[in-house]
Formats: sequence, C-alpha cells, structure tokens
Amino acid sequence: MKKKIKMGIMNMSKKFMVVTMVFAMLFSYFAKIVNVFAESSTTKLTVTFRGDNANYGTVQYSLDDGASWNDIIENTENLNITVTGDNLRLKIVPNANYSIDYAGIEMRHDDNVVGGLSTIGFESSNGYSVPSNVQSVKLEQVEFSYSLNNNDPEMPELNATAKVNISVSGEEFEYDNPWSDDATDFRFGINASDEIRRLGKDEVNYIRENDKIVGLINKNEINYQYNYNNEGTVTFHIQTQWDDVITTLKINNVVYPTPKTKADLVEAFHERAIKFDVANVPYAETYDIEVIGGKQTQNEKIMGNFGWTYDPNTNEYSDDDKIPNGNLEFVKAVYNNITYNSIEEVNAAGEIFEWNDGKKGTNDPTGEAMFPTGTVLTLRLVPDTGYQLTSFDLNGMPFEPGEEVGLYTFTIGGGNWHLGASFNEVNDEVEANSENIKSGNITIAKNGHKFENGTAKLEVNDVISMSFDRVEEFENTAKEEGYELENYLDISLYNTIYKGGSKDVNGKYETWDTPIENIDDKATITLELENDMSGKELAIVHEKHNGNEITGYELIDATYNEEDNTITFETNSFSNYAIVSKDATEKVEYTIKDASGNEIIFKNNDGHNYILTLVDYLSFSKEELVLKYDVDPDEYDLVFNTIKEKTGKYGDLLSFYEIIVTDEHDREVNNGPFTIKIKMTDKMKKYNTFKIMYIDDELNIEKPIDLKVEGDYLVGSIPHLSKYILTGSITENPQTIDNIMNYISILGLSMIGLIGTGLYTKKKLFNK
Amino acid sequence: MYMAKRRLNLKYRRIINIIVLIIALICLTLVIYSIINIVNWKINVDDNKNIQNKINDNITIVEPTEEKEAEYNIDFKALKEINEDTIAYLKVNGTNIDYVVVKGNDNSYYLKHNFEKNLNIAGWIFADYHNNFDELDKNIVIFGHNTKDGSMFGTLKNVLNKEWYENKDNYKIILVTEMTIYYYQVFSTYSIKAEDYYINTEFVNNEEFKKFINKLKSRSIYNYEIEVSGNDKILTLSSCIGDGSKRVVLHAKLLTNEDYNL
Repeated sequence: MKKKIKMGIMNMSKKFMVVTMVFAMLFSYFAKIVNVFAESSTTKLTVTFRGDNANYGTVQYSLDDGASWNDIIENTENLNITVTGDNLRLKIVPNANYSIDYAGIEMRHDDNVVGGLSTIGFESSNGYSVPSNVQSVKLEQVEFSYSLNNNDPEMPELNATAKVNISVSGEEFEYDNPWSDDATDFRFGINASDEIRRLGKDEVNYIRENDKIVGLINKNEINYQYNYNNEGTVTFHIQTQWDDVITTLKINNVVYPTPKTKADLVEAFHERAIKFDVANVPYAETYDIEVIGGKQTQNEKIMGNFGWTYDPNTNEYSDDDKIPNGNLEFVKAVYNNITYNSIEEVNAAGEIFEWNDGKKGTNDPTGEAMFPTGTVLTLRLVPDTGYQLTSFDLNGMPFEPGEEVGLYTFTIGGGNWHLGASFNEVNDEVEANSENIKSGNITIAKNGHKFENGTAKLEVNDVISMSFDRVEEFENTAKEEGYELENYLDISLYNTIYKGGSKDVNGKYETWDTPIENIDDKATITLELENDMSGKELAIVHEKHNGNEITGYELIDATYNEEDNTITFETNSFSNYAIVSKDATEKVEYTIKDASGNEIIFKNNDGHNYILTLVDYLSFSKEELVLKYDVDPDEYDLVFNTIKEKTGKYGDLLSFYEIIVTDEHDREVNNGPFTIKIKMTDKMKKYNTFKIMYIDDELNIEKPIDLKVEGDYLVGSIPHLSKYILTGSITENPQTIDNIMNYISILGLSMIGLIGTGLYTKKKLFNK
Repeated sequence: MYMAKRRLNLKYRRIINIIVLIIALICLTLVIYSIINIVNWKINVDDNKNIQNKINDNITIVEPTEEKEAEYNIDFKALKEINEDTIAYLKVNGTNIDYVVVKGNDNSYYLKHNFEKNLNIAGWIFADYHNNFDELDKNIVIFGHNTKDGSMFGTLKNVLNKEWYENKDNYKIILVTEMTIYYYQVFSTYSIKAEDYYINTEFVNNEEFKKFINKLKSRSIYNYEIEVSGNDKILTLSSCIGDGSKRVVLHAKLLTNEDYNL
C-alpha cells in the first residue's frame, strides 16, 4: 500500500513538474517577447568619399553583427537600412598600400558629431557598432593616404639623403621647434615632389617624376633614388598662407628672391596660398633654410574675402554672416578695368577670383567670395517676403545703393570681412498722406503678395483732381444703394524694399518702391478716419482700372467700427476710391439654408434676397470634379495631398467647402461674421472634435476655428465666406494610470491559488 | 453495482484532479507573468531616474534670495540633442514634479516611451500635442503617469490634500520654455471622472474661455482666492487617480508682470 502511495505521489509529482516546467518556459519566453520588445527601426546611412578616394578603399556595413558585410563603393545618400537594436556595424577598408586618413573624416549620429574616429574600431574585424536608436548615420569625407613599405616593389632604391634644417621667424612665423604640429604657415617641397611638405607633419610624402616615385620626404630627411636633377641643382617649392609675406629667404646662407610687392604676391597666389619656386639651389647634403616673414599689413593685403550662410543655426559662421531671411546674388565685378558679368566669368578668370553660391533650403546653404583688393563689386541683396534689411554695414566699408532694387556697389578691401546684414520681419504698412485719413493697416494673405522680396506699402493720398464725368460715375454708383459721397482717395500699393538700412532725416527707412496694380487674393485694408462717422453706415466705391483705362465702378461692402472710427474693406486692385455713407439702419438677422440643410446666419440691413451655395469638393470623385468644375486632373492629387499634409495635425480631412452667399443681383455677400451650421453626415458622427479653417488659393491655411456639435449640426462662427477645410478628430483624455498595483494584486491572488491547489493535492495524496 | 459506482467515483476524481492541475498551471503562469511585469516596472522606473539624473546636468537652478527670484538655466539645446521633442521644464512645489516636458505628435506616444524614446511603462511628462508653446495657447495641458513610486505625476494627487493647500508656497508653478520663464498660480484643484472638457486647448473667443474658466473654478475643492478672466491664459496638469476612471486635475493662471507678487 505504501509502495502504491509512494508510486502515486511520484507519478503525480513528475507529471506535475514536467507540465509546469514546460508551461513556465513557454510563458517566460512569451513574456520576454512581450515585455522586452526588440524594436526594429529604419536608419538612414550616408557615406561620401573625398574626391576620388572611393578608388583607394571601401566602406562596409553589416546588419548581422559582423557575420557578413555589404560594400559601399561610391557616394551614397540616405540609404534606408532596417536595423534591430544595435546590430549595425561599419568598417572602412583601405586598398593595398593605403591607410585611412582620419584627419578630414567626419561622422555624425543624428547630426551629432562623433569624435575619436581613429579609436572606435573602423579597422577592427568586427567594425564599429552604431548605437541603437540612431536614426541617421553620416560618414563623410572618407579619405585614404598612400604609403609604401620597404618591401613594396614600387618602393625605389634610395641612395642619397639630404637633411633640411629650417628656422622660421617673424610675426606669426616664430616657432621653437620648426617641426612642431602647430607650424602650418610655412611649407616646402622639392623638385617634382607631389606634395608641399608642411612643417611638423609626421608622415611620408612621395616625390614623383613622370608618375614614378623617385624619393621620399620624411620629416627633415629627403631621400632620393638618384641625385637631384641633371644640372646639379634642386628646386625648392615654397608655400605660405595667402596673407603672408616672406621678407628674407636664405638657403645655405644664400639669399633668394621672394614675392614681396602686391603685384608679385598676386601673381604668386595659387589655390588660396602664396606659392613660388626657388630654383637653382646647389645640391648639398644639408640645407639650412632661414625664413623671415610675417602677415601682410592691411595696406599690403592682396585679397579680400567674405562668406555668408542661409542657415541660422550653424556654429561655423558668426551672426554677422547669417542671412536666413534674405538673398545674395552676384551682379558684376570690375578689376583692372575688366568687367566680369557672371559667376562663370569670375570663376574662369583665374585663381585670384572666386565665387561660390550658397543655396537656400539645401544641404549647401553657405557661399563664399574672394577677390583681389581694389575690385569693385556689385551685389544684389534683397529680403524675403515679409522681411526688410534693417541694418547693413559691410564691416564699415562704404557702399552705394544702386538705382535698381537691391543693388549695392563697393570696393573690396583686404582680409576677411563680414556682411553685417540684418533682415528682420516687418509688417506691411500704410502711409496715410490724406487729410481725411489718420492711419491705417493692410493685411495681405500669405503668398498673396505676388512679389518675392520685401513688404507691401499702401499709400493713401487725396485725389488732387478728377473730371466731372468721373465724379458723376462715383455719385451714381453710390446713390444706387442710397449712399452719399464723403471723400475721394488715391490708394496705391507698392512693393517696398529698404535701402541698406539707412534712414532719412525723419527717421524713416529709405526705400526702393515698385508699384503694384493688382494682387491675386484680396487685401484687407483698415483706415482710421479723421472725421467721426458715428451713426453712419459706410461703403466704398471703387474706380476699376486695368492699367490703361477705367473699366467701371463698383460698390464694395465695408465695415465701420464706431469704437475706433475705422473703416475696413477688401480689395485686390489699387486706384481711386471714394468713401460713401448713409444713415445706419438696424441690421436684421438672415438665416439662409441650402438644399442639404446647411445654414448660414448673418446680419444685414439692405433687404436683399439671399441664396446659399455650399459645395463640398470632397463629395465628388476626381472625374466628376474634372467634368463639373474644370479641375486639372494632374493637379488633383497634388492639391489633395497638400491639404491632407497641412491639416493632418488637426485630424482627419472631412470636407473641402466653398461657401458663397449671393443676393438677387448675383453679388456676393461678405460682411461677416457668419454663423455656419453644417448638417452632420454619418461619416462625421464617429468624431467628437471638429475644426474648420480658411484655405486660400495657394493652399495656405489660417488658424483653425472650433465647431461645436449641436444636435445634428456642427456650429461655429467664421469671419468671411470662402473656401474652408473641415477636419474631425477624436479627443480623448489619455489613460495615465500605473498598473503596478494590478500586477501586485494578480501576484497575490495567483499565489493564493497556487498554494490552495498545492494544499488540495497534498491532502489528496495523504488521504490515499 | 459497487464496481460501477467505484468506477464512477474514480472518473469524477480524475476530472477534479485535471481541473485542479489546470488551475495550478494558470496560477503559476500568472505568478510568473506578474513577477516579470513587476520587475519590468522597477527596471523602467529606475531607468527613468537615471535619465532624470542625466537631464539634471543640463539644468541649473540658482536658489532665490531676499532680493531675487530663483533663476532657472535650462540648456534646451543639449536637451533637444537627446530628444528634439523637448518643449519646456515644469516644477510644481509640494510635489516631486520637477521635469522636462516633451510634446509628441499625439497624446499616446509618451504614455509608453520615456525621454530617450525607449519603451517605458512610466512614460514621460508630455504636453498635449495640440498645444502651441511659441504663442502659448489659452490652455496648456500637460499629462503624466500617476506612478506608484512618486515619479512623473505620481505626486500630483498631493494637491487634493489639505496640507498641500494650506502651504501658500505650493500655489506657484514654474514653466520654463526656450523663450522665457512663466509663473503660474493655482486656482483650481479637484478630481473628476475622466472627460475631455477640461483638456480643450482652443477657444472661439474670450467670452467662451471665461465660461470655461468659471466651470473649472466651480469644481475646485479649495478656494484659492484668485481672479481669472477671459483674457488670461492657464495651465492644466492632469493624471489618473484610483482605478484609472478618474483624474486628478490642477489648473493655474499665468501671472503677468502686474499681478506677479508671490
């Protein structure tokens, strides 16, 4: 019996344990997967090689911790790689006889520079492991340097050695150790050596003749395969910085000529450095080179240069060089009586001229210019729309604004200098010169200016004279609606650009003004009246003009604000106007419905009959829109996607309305505000938050207006009637509870359950 | 007959044994599941504490003196290099709320992701994605988890305590953005069943906003004796409480130069 009990217990326990262990393992594995999410993500990889260095080595990447590698053999931008955790690895593999030159290589993780590249493992077998969560890796200016070892078949037999001792002195030329790492001002080369040897640079440079390596320069030793050149002399190549001058050069105590005059220095200017040869130096086993020099004085400086950038956030340029809200263009340069009219002509004219354009909104937003001193340079410097050049000093160099808009001419001075151009946001303005108008303001829709630079200026003047016929036309138009004439105004719109930040005696900026007759979208103009118009209702009569002749007269609705005695109206055309008035009558409320049950409610007092037309363009298919509304099928997708992109943050796109109210004369009403009541469709009913926003013809949207749900309607107030976008979203108060107590409760209850079942099992077994 | 009855009993016992076994396995599974989640919770919470310590390297607070208010120097540039969603810094006296605030593209991402954008059940303190901090909306709404260890908005519920209310120093809330430092004064604290009304961020006009303010004030469990008008701007802090069906809510008024005298 005991044996049976024992067998029974053992069998039950074994089964229990096996099943429990299997289940627990499965669940742990499942829980690990659920709780420790291994997220995969996409990383963008960019690799660029300096010049033709892709011929001298390869970059490799691995996605399986180094088990296999993929080659990148040319410049690659934003390669999308699916990465899990930190399993992206990079290697740089130079070709035979090449090594990685880390000096110029740069790596960024998500635009953060990574330092110490030579120590992080690019050359190890497993490569460099990119940390997880890095979304963008840029490995740029990859470069390799050539090196031979003594066993390499290309290595020449070197049978002659000469030592070079250099002492360098003078302003900014003095160094204790001519081979120190800081000594960069003076460089030398010899005979046909490919590279100009920099003082202190600790690496081998090759001397090649007819592409064949014939010697090495290694620190201060020059090793040759055979002796110098056939005449028993050597030629030294000397290089200094572009603004240096060597006053004395001695080699083995013999003085050699150096460029010292401005003309000589300009001639010696190559690749942004002063370079010249010292030929016919007798061969010697030791060359004692003594150099005395320093910086060119301000009067001696042969070149002037400046840079600019459209990137306001870069640390590589000072604020004086940043012009994020302006635009700089080359117009003309004159040097030594030769005129250069284009950038191509400048860059083709020789090494002393250089112009590199920066490109706004690209990865290359910086520009640079260099000219010999004395060059007369003309630039075009203009602000973006909505901005003005409020100060401009060119480091104190005098400049002349030209007749043409945005042109400035000045003479290049020597050295590095800064634009000192400041572009600031400026509102469109109104210049009220009329006796009847105190002040005003104008609002033009974004991108409705039709000009690319500067701001708008509205000038309001009194009309000086007008023919009797024209006066009669104004009066008749006013009288049709019961108005009387108050005064005539000449309203002109200009595109205005400040001239170099300079101000006149009245403290106003001097400007270039270009007249504008029409704009696409209507501008809203508000004028503060000199005379009190309380108790009156005002309107505007507009004399329409096509640039050549008068084409008619129209009455435009206006809003009079008694509180500040202003009149506000909309127009997109600028010519003669008249303010007209009549006694104010009480406005009545109109509720206009369309066939779908949508409503518009507004107040007016002219007693007309109104019709509401509310079209939802999204209720039509593309084909219907093309046929019915003459929509360009090629533009349909672009417009639709642009609207979705711009309104996406407010919710799902529900409708694209055009809302028009007309009277019996087919004249549009636009004296707001208007209460809009949109009949909800079934599609709208799943949302709880609605917004409506005005959209102009350029697809710019204004600040959204909330609509409330009232029964079957969405209700809100809009300032005018036009095109509107309706969006819907579901606003929920997020659940921010901490579930730890739930887990603890589950743990407690399940422990109780486990103990309970354990006790039951034990009891069962002992009862047997 | 006896044998048949004996076989029937055996059959029932077998069924019961199987049921007990299943219950035991389920309980064991739940034990393992809950232990894993508890450990995960602890790891996540500690992770966030480490992140907070790292963030504090970019925050310098100069204590106030008799002549001057406290100075808050927040290196937003360095913080944005870690997380470009960084939008502000928030401090609420009388609580542990002393955090950098982020703003994502929705109101769910930072419920499950921390400041370094790693999955984390404690999430991070985040502003409503509708909010505009450049022009500072009428109602800036900030959410955070009510974590049991007191991190994130775990101590926001202190505002329902009388001791918290009785200390007037607690009425001041500091919100620092890249532009400036904003000082807010509490005008309403309460708990309420979860709803969307008080997280509204945009209003048609100041009259509508005034009605909104009046409703929020009427809900407060304490009287903070401060006037709030339709022209003012407010800050709302919200977190779950209890079983998650309710919210603890704090509203504070933005102080202007004229009325800031704390």
